[in-house]
Amino acid sequence: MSRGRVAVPIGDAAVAVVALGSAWAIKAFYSRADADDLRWILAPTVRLVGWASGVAFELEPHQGYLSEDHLFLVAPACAGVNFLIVAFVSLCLGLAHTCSNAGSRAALVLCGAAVAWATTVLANAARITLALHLHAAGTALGPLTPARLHCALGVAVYFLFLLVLFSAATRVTGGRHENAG
Amino acid sequence: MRTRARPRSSIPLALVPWLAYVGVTVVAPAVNGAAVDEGYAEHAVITLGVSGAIMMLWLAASRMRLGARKPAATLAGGRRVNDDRVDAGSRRVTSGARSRS
Repeated sequence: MSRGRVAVPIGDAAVAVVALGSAWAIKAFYSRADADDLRWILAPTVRLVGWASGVAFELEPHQGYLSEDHLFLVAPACAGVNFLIVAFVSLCLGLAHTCSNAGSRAALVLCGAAVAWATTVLANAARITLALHLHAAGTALGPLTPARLHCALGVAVYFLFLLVLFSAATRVTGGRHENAG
Repeated sequence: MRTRARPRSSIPLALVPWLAYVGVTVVAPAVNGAAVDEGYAEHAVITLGVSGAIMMLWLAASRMRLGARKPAATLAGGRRVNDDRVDAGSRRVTSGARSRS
C-alpha cells in the first residue's frame, strides 16, 4: 500500500455497493410512490402518532392519513423514506469495518435494514407528534415562520435519532472509535 | 456477529451519519436539479445549520465524556489510588537518571 492511501477491503466495498445500490433503488421507488405504496412505513408511524398524541387519523386513498380535527395530513412526503435511507447507509458504511466474513456482512445489511426501518418509524412518529403541537399552536419566532420551524424541528429530531442509533450500533458491534460518541 | 479490529481511516466515524444525512437531503436533490427550485436554498440552509450545530454539540459532548473518563485512577472523593506510588516512583527514577547524566 502506498503512503497516504487508505485501502478498502473488498468485503467492505461489497457492503458499500449493496448499501448504496439499495439506497438508489428505494429512492427511485419513493419518487413514484403514493400513500398506498408507502403503507408499510406510513401505517405503523400514524398508529404510533395516534397512540402518543390521541389524534385520530383516517386513510385517504392515494393521499395519506388525514386528521380532520387538526386539518393535518401525513402525506407520502412525510413518510421518512429519506431518513430510512440515511440510517441504513450510515449503519452499513460505518460498521462494515467490524465484519470479518461474508456471513457477518450479510447480517449487517439485513439487521441494518430492520433497525433502520424501526428507527424511522420511531423518529418519524416523534417528529409528527411534535409537529402536530407546533401546528396547533401556530408558533413563529421572528424569521422562523411556522413552515421553517417545522423544517428545523424535523431536521433536529431526525438527526438526533440518527446519532443515537449510530452511537448505539457502534457500541453493540464493538466498532468504537475515539470520536464515535 | 464476529468482529475484528482494523486500521481506521482518517474520517472520524461520527461524521459518517452526518455525511449520509447531508448527502441524501441536500446533495442528492441538488444533483437531481432541485437546486433551482424555490425553497431549496432555505431547506439547505436549515438542514446544514441544524444538523451541523447538533453534530458539533455531539462531538463536544463525546470529547467531554472521554475527558471525564480519563482520570480513572480517582476515587469518588477525588482521592487518587495506586497511581501516586507509580508516579512517585517514576519521578524518582527520572530525577535519579538526571543526576547521573
